Amino acid sequence: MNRRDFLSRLVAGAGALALAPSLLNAKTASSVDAFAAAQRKHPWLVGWHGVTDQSFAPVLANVEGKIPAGLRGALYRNGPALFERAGQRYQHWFDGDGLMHAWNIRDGRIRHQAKLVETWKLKTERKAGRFVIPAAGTTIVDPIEIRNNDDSNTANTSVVKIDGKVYALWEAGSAIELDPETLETIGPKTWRDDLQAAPFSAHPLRDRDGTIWNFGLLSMLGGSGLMIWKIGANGQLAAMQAIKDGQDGYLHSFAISENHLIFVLAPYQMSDEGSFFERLKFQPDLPCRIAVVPKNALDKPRWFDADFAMAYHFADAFESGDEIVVRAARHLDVNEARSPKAELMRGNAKAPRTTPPELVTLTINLRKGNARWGSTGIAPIEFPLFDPRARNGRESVVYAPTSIGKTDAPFTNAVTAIDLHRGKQTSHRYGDTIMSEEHVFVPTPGSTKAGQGWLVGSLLDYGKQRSGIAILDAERVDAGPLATAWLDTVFPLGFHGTFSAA
Amino acid sequence: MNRKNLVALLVLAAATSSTTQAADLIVNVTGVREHKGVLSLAVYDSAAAWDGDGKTVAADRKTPDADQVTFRFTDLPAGKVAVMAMHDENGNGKLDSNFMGMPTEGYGFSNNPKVMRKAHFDEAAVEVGETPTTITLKLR
Repeated sequence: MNRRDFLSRLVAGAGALALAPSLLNAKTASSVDAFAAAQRKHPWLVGWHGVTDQSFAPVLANVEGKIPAGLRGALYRNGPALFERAGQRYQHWFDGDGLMHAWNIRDGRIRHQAKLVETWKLKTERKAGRFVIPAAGTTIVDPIEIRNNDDSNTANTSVVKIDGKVYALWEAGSAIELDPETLETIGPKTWRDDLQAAPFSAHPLRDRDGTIWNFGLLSMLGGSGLMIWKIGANGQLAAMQAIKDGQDGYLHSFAISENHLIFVLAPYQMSDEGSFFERLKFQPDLPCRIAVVPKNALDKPRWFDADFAMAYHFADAFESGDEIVVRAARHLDVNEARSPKAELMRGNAKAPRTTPPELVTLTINLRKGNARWGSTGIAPIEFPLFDPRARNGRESVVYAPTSIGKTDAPFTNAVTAIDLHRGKQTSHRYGDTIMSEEHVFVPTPGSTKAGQGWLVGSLLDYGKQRSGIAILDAERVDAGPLATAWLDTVFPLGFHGTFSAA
Repeated sequence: MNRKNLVALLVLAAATSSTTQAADLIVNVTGVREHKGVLSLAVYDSAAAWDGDGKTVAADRKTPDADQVTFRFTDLPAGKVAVMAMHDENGNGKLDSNFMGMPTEGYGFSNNPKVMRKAHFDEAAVEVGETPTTITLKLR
């Protein structure tokens, strides 16, 4: 073994291990008891309570209404779910270990099962009996030393199916492959030997030709800039390209248009102490840097400036003349953006409600070289999705959870379909005690027109302490669900899902 | 020879003689993730050697067959030594790292310093003397 090689590499890698916690002066994780007490008074806090370390065997859900005959397949959904061990409770929503759900829709029945993703982190902490791995947003007392960023991988954010394989996704490490039927964990995916443990974001996008585009943020690991992944429809790595900018920026998702990939980086600086999200400080005085990357020339990004904005989630994007227009859910409260629902994670149910995220547009002018944000006034909006068959803004509809009317829980309670071109919005409010999550768009088999399909979204009814899913006609959202399916049990809220048609 | 020089020489001699005493170091390496490949330990007695300007005072390698593997080094110079461990899990002759330089195989340092980089010699250094010293080195 070449020792000098090891030394130089290790030194080079040292800066990369930026997920390291501050080891001293650590705050203890917030109290499990305080949260439980708050939840007794505010039953909607069940959305952030979490699960114990166990798997959830297949059960049939109670179906109300009629499941469309053409809708067959599985809704996979992922989200942080294990928040407490040995009396410690995570303070940041993004820290929980990933729980993968599968809602199998077949022959008029809906069967649910769920399993925690068996990451190295989960197995290590199960053995230790407490949290010992540096977390993204909570300082862990007396952590163990980690090898690299993948040791912190919770696989808790999203899920994608590529070439028949299901992957649980985080954003600062590997995709973790799962068995599509049993949800058993197979292990981290290495797309190429030198890309082991490389960040593979939670928001890959599928292009019309089946290509999967994704990115990984290198700056959050102590590197610089971001890497672009191009995975062929055959599940093989087609290209990887790193791009850099002088200013560090955070991004969680991106957008694709006909010919371009669009990455919007929100400027930040890191302070010295704490976990990644504790150290991250957005810089609203600095502009967003935007990389517009030609799909056929990944090494030739064009960079644009726009006013500061922080958006976790970008929806669709269209090219028209010299312009690219992107839609996004913008967080106006940057502190909330740094740690969404932080007060709720601590059981502080009476915390002032934060400014809700708004649907915004970003217009990039390729000829003039500028970019500007536009307001739509539509809020709250999060987890926006769309039918990728739409080829322009006239055909596009954005589907997203929203809130309508009074609600006890500081969370969305409805779903809406937004046609920005026509200024039309149709919505359905689920009920007084129901929290609504992401709704994925599923095209009707045989349909060709954008928008023809169903929305399949998950719900949490804290009045009846049960979780479920709803199926709606995407063209008649205001008619309410065609069918809903409820479990007898309740799970924490999750983040993102994908529908795999059978 | 003036007196100052004599004192200096005596001090130097004393220091030199102390490092010529034989010392034993037993290293229990824990946290071995793969029971295969080559687990290598290298022992250094100076910061210069640790940083690449010099040689190891001892080294050994084993194919691990358990989560914990014990190494015994004998006849080390008494004083400060630091141990670096590398686990070439796939047996390809090197400690693999990815395109970012992030290690993707196991490594660790004596004293288990809580640093997220290669430890400095002083952070990893342990004292060895006439009676055998036993330490635990946690692989990461």
